[in-house]
Amino acid sequence: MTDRQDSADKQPTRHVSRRGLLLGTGGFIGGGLVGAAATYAAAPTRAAIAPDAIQPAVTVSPGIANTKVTVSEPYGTQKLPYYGPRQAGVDTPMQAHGIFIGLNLNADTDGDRIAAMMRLLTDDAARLTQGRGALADLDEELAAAPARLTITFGFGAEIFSRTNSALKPSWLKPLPEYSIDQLDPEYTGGDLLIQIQGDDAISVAHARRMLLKDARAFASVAWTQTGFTHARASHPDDTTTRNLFGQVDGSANPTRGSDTAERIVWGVGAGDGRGTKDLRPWIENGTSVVIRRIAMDLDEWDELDRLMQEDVMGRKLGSGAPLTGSKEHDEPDFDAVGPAGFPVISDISHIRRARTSDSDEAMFRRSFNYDDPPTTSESAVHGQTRVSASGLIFVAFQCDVEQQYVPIQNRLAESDHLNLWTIPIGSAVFAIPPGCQEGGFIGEELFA
Amino acid sequence: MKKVIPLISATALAGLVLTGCDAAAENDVSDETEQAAEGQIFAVEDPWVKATEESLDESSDHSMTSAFAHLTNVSGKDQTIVGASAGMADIVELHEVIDDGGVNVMQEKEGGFPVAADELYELNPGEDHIMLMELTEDINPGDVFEITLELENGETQDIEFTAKEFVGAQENYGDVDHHDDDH
Repeated sequence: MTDRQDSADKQPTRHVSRRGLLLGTGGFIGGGLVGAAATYAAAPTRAAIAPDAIQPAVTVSPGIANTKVTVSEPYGTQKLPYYGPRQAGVDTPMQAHGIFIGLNLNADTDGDRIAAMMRLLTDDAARLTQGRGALADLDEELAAAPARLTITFGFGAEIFSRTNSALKPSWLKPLPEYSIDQLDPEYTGGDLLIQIQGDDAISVAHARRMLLKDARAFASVAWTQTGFTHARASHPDDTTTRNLFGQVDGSANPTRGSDTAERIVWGVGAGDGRGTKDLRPWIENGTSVVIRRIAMDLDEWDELDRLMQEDVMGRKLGSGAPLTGSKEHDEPDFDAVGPAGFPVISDISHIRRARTSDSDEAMFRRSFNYDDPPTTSESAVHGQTRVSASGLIFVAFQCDVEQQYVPIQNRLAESDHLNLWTIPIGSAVFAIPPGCQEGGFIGEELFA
Repeated sequence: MKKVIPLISATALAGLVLTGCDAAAENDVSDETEQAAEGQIFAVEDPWVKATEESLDESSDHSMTSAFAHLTNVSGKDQTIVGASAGMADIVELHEVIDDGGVNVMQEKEGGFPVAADELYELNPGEDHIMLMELTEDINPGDVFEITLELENGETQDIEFTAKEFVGAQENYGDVDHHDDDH
């Protein structure tokens, strides 16, 4: 099947074809910029409701200074639970902003001090994610709109070495060196991961500051990566996000809370029963994360036309559907051939190279985009001024890095058409410890 | 004496949850009152003590620091805090900060901290606080220290204070005997 026409996808909005938009405006066909600008027309599926009616203003009190702050409910006030068997920020809903910080422990931060640090950071996270200033927070108002804030901690090998090396997972080490890699130490490694995500950039920024103020007595920042996805409410919740190549990114993710996600992320249950790996979590309710910074050459990517861009990926840009399907979550048909006898989904397309018959070779992706200004040293491509230094903070959670992640990465590094436009420039692996209950702290199992 | 214990006591947290971001939540004294443990005099919110690590704050003096909390009198009768003691300091005083001609200076508060029944008494940086001098150990961030409040009626209450790095709370001493040249 070679039909390239985008069809309606799962989103609950009326599909409006490009042709329809152009015709619908009348008189602007071929009208260039004016025509294009005039044709953006939303087609609501129900009567309009005033924003204030959907998101009423409410007054909250974010701390002991007892000030009153007006925020919107529910998008401003929404909290994801902090205490629980698992840390939030793994297979919880995707937010608009993400900050990833790798820290290196100071030489004199021993096991006791690591415990003290994690008690402080856990307390900060427990308060901030619930819309409250940190302990001794002079600016608690900045925490008033948690907006699904999550704060997640990950441990590098050094934390285990200084506390409880018997618990260190065997996969907790740098990924194999790939020929496609051009890793920058500025984005690589780290002893402690702090992952901060939320829909409100102000509360995310405040959380970063409060956490780093408490961490600096114990560790120094090795790297920071700041990323974003769509603003909340610009798309329906749980829409798969797009990367800056325009690709729908994360379609193959297991559904949050499904049997597949339980097995792939947490090593629990049999999943779909088609996996062959011996998946065991390093600790109950623990998992792992791989964070790769992927530079994406948008300026070179522009040289491809849309059909070529879709061939590289194996998916349609519009709907995210495989080239053999019509909807984002349609199963790709890797056997389908086109009129000339070539596979519809190219042998070196990203989705074919990533695909495996072993359903345990899978991950839960939670990637964020970055969009930096280009540096002057890389300011031209083919004689044209470079305008982007963009990419992806690729984030993948899986029970076992070695058995689940590495086989996929091996195949992609060996031959993935997308590699021509992407360069991995940072790489880090962390063990994600379980959550904790009130009175406990993240990582307490290392001190048991 | 330094103790390694969980950071948040159940009592302290009870108040926090209630005064969090719940849309209708007010920082209501009665909520905390309900959460106070049996026999407690004060419901305690956010107790913390300023850490003294020299590497973090060169202006801090290892020999002194200060402690803060919000105390709600849940005993049913008026109380006065007249003193305090702590394992990590040889001298513990109840201080206030006053405006001395445009300069904030701290001094011992005459008569202590009076807390009427059901009232909230705030110990904050730049305001009333517990002053700890002649420290006997480092106050490292994340460690927890016990301070005992002494009441006029002879009763006491132990409170656990978490050490936090904090660059504020640098009030001047009005008392020349304690003058700190750094400020």
